[in-house]
Amino acid sequence: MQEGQIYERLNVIFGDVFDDDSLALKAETTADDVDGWDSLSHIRLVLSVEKAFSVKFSAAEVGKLKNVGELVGLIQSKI
Amino acid sequence: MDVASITFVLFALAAALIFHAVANPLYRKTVLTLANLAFIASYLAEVRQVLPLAFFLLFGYGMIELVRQRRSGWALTLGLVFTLALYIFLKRFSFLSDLPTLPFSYLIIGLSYILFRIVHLIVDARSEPWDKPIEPWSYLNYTCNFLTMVSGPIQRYEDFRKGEQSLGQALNADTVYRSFSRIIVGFVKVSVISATANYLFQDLSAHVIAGSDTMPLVKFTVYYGAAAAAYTGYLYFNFSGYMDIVIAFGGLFNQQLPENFNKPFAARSFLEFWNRWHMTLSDWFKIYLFTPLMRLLATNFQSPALLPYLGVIAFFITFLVMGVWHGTTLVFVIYGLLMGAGASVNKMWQVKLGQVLGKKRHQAFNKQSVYIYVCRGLTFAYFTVAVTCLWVDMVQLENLFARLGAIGLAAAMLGLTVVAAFGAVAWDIGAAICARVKGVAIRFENVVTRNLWLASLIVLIAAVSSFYHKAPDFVYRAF
Repeated sequence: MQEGQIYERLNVIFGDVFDDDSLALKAETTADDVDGWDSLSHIRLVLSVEKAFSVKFSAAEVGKLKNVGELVGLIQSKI
Repeated sequence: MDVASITFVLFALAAALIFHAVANPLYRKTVLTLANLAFIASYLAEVRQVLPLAFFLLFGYGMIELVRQRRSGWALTLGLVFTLALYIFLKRFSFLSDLPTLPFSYLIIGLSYILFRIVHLIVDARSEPWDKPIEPWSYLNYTCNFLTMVSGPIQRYEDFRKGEQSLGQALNADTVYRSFSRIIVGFVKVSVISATANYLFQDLSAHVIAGSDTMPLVKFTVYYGAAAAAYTGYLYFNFSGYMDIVIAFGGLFNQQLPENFNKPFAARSFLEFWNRWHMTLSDWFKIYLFTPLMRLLATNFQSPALLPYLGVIAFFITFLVMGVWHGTTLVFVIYGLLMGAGASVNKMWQVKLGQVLGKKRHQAFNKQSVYIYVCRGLTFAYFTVAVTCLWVDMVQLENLFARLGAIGLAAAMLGLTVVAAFGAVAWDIGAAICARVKGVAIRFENVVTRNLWLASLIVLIAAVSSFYHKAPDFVYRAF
């Protein structure tokens, strides 16, 4: 899957999880840039991403993610 | 060997000199191993005292290898349960005093932090693509690193391995200067600031623990609040100074150790506080307890509306375990309950406030200065009251709460909140002034002035140390 396609699907997932359709994700987008992205919604986000891309993240991978770019890289490494 | 001691500094400097005598990575890895073994040996009166620790390390390695080879859920469960059971047995928790113990005293220093590293490796061994066993030599240096063994910071294994790959690099003058200046700043924190806070704490807490019946409640409450605040200051400067020393020494051994503090008293909530205080411990609990627990709960209860309440439960359990981990007696269970209650009430407050005010008004409310400083004050006050459990035993805690009563306790919380809120305002103003002064002073910075500055700090350490006769012990060593 192309990087652009991953971002496209992630935009939909983020919009659903954070109830904000105006989000335009970039590689450098972090939790500070998205209102409501805390440790709880992070888990919901991870579960939604795992379901959408049919992948599974480890505890360390979930804990270490620093920005959307790293999430995209992680998804790419697993599909 | 106490880390914040001249003996340790001389030991670490000698090890650093020997380490840099030859650039060969294998030679340097050997030097680190010998330094680690010498550090452990400094705590031993006889050889057999180290045997339980050695067995724990070997057992942990076996469990990691079992999980790495099987990569199954049952192997992971088995590995974690047996490792934790062995840890609990060796740690001699008071509630298990009926269990048989080993017939000799043995070394348990650093056992908790070794456990964190082993559990991290056991869990990751199931998911990480490790096609070869962990190298036993690296495992020994990782788990028993003399800089981080006693109280962290808890470095991740992959970061440790990256450091091993740069063992052969030469030091440059800037790294050496930055390391030495941070070591000196660490000693200022430990030997000057924390020693002063400890001096005040010892004096004030003696009245509180004695629980003088003749003292009026108002005076007793003020004494308690002041003693508790002094202890928090002592704890912070002692622990963060210790971290400065070990992280700076790490630089001299080509190790980039993770930071453990980030201005904790700037936190606007109890949950944010734990993202700034003992950060590597908080991260560990987040990765290996909170996240799996939340995943489990969120997978079984999928309604988004339930998520915040599941979070409250997960926060409570995580902070309860984190609190209980600090000690082996009943008072640490109370500490854990207070930590869990603080975290879950904090989360519940955030959720309810968001529901009542709505998204935009909640955001605007969070940015109001008065609210921010009240929250900072309250965060400090709650933490300060909770860590009372670290300086009293169960009987003393019961007596203290009986003497204070609900009114005294509420008054202490209120007083600490107000003082800390105004203190935070004063701190921010002071920090802004210092930043301006530093901006001017930096123009005059050169080799002479910056070394004069360090020399003046050393004189300050020597002068204050002679006043107190003895530097305070490293407080976190006990946990």
